[in-house]
Amino acid sequence: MKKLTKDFLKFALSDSPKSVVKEIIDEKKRAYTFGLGSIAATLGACAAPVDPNAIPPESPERALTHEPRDIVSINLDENDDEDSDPGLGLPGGGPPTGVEPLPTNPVPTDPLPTTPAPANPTPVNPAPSNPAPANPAPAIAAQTFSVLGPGLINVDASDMMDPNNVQLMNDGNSLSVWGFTSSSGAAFNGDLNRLCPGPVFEANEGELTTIALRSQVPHTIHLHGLDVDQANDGVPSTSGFVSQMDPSAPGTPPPMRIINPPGAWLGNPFEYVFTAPHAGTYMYHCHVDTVLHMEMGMSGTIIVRPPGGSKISLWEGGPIFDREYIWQLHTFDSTWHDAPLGSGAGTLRYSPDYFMLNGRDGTDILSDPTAAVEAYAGQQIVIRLVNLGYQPALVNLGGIPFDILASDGRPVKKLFLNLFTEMLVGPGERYDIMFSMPAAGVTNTSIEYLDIMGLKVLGTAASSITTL
Amino acid sequence: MDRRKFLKAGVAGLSGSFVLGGLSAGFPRNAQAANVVIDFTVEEVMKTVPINREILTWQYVNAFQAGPGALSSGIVVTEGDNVTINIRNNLTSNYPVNLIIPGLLETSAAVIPGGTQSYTFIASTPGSYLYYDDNNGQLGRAMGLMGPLVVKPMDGSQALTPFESNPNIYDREYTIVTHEIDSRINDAVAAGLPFDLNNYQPDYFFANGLSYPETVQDPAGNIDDTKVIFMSLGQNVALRFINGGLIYYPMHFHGYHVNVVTRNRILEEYIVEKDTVLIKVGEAVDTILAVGNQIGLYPLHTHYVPGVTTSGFYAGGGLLMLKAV
Repeated sequence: MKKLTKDFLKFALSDSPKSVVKEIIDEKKRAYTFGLGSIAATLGACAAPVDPNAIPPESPERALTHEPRDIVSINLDENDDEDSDPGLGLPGGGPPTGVEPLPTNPVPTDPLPTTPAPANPTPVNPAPSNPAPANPAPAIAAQTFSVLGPGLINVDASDMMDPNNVQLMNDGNSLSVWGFTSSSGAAFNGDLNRLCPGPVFEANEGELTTIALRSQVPHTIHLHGLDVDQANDGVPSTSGFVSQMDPSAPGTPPPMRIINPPGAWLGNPFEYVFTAPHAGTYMYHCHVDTVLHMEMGMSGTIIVRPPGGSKISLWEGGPIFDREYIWQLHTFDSTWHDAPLGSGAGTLRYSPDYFMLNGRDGTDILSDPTAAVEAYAGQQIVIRLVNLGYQPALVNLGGIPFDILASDGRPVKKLFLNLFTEMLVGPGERYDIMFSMPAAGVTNTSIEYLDIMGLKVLGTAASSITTL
Repeated sequence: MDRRKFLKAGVAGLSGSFVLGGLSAGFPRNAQAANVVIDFTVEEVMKTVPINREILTWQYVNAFQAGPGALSSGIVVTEGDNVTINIRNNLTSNYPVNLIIPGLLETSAAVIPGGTQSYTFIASTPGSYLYYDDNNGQLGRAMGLMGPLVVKPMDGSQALTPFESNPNIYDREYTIVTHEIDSRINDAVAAGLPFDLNNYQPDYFFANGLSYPETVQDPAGNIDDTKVIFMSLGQNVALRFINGGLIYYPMHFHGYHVNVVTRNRILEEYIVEKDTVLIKVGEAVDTILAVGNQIGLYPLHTHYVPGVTTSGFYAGGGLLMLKAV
């Protein structure tokens, strides 16, 4: 540990003022657990004790980052959901601040046996892809999003039954949307003005996960990429769905009779049960009238953590990272949101006019802490690219080279080392990429959404990478 | 018009040879290079799409070897074969056409309506290929002038990559040609009116010329084992995706990941194991699905979900089904 710190110090000194270096070390000591103080407080019993070694920040530059962001951060768990402690990451995220008093160590307290991430994990096989100077391994990487799970995940469908479901766009328009929420009504990152994407579901490799979907209208959750069995696949015609009918009633058509468990209809939870075999990045979405329901916002990301729930690598023995982001790529065709009831003439052709990242578009993305990357020089950043939309997307990090570590929940067979500066992500694909934070400055990134012919750029979602 | 009536090919017409049909039939495997002659005519075919709509298409038609589904003719030859394709252009409007095969026949002379032309090439490398008309730019494929060509290895093995140390032997194989129609283009061509391919936005989508539920069900609405991608536990199933359309097809597998073996006959060494395989325009991507121990019915479809519709209605398009028993 000492040697690692020394090495890191040597690296850091090369391009950072001393005070920053000191803070970086402090951050390392505090295991990279960034978060808003108020949120950390809400974690209550989940929070680890105050680190007596934590040294208050000194540099005025850092002090600037204390400005609280205008984020509605919601504890997805709340108190009405006693049987499901979602093992919160760090809701709200935001830039690392020097004031938060509690290094959080969100250990799930759900009844399922889980192993908390070890304080000082030694990677089984520190992959050759970590070209950065030797970093002391963080106990837990900083997240910029909150999660539901592991264990039991309670989800509500929120759709045309609630006319208040709108997504506030950058141009001031409010589009009617549908989505999935936690039992307390929160979607991705707990922002009430952002129904889609839905909350992040988290599962641990090898552990039983149950997703209980409540809905007043036929919907399903398809566990995209998890290769679950037919009964849990979330396809109405083959797996059943939350039916409008009592499945035991005479005359119920066959697809509606395929119900798991029996008796799941209209507001009773429909349970999806699976054991995720491979750590990685996955998606979920409604598979009822998919072309419309998915576009309306009924989709989100599933993260399968390595066995035991470790949050410092994508898979057991994979490269160690310091901070992780999810970039969920999607678009809206606003005409589809006008009077959506079912697919047909209204969904004849898809012409997106809003180009989004994590539910935000335009300049809203730049001020969104889930999308705009902020970290210290040399830190290893993982971005999980998830294409929830219908357009192929060309992602570039403003010239910062990155590795592709995994795709569709599987490590790549050979590692690309800093080989890529842009990556095409097709609809339904996921790519987990990692890069080293530049020495300084702000780098502008872009996601170019291509037409489905792959010829024209239809629109762009711009974000940024800022070295603190 | 008589000709069109004669060649009317509904969705149920030639569809007995759905996924595999036409590609496996015919040419016997042999270890000797052979001279193979294929006679194509380019025809105007009124294609019936759901629901009871007829759209003018152009197709390469081989009277003796129907292609998969109801669209175009398939070709299966053996590595080393000396292949001659004779073309007669029977289009009634003034469109000269040709036939190219990226990887085997990069350029070819156009043939005017009423004319004939011969193209010859050696099937030098095993793998999956797309053939299509490029004399009319994108219009040829928009109208349906394309089809699949599979070159089997010379040694007679069921190998996707006989040139590699891991030959990727399969137990079953399926060839899936993706394409789509923007009916506004076809209607304009039929009426002799101007059209705009820059505004290409298809409304009909196909796998091997068929749309769901014809891709999966018999007329009575039951799952048809001769139409689904039928797999037995423990088998290796080769799926050859050949994109004859003008849009990307990110093909998503339910229930199973697949291994991407080659893209345009080049070994994929990096991003191999996928549940969503992006097939770009003109690409041929060979994959192998190792059927584990999970039985069931699992959809296989483009995740450009508008491609799972027919004229806007879900579910339709080129939705396929895997059936593992």
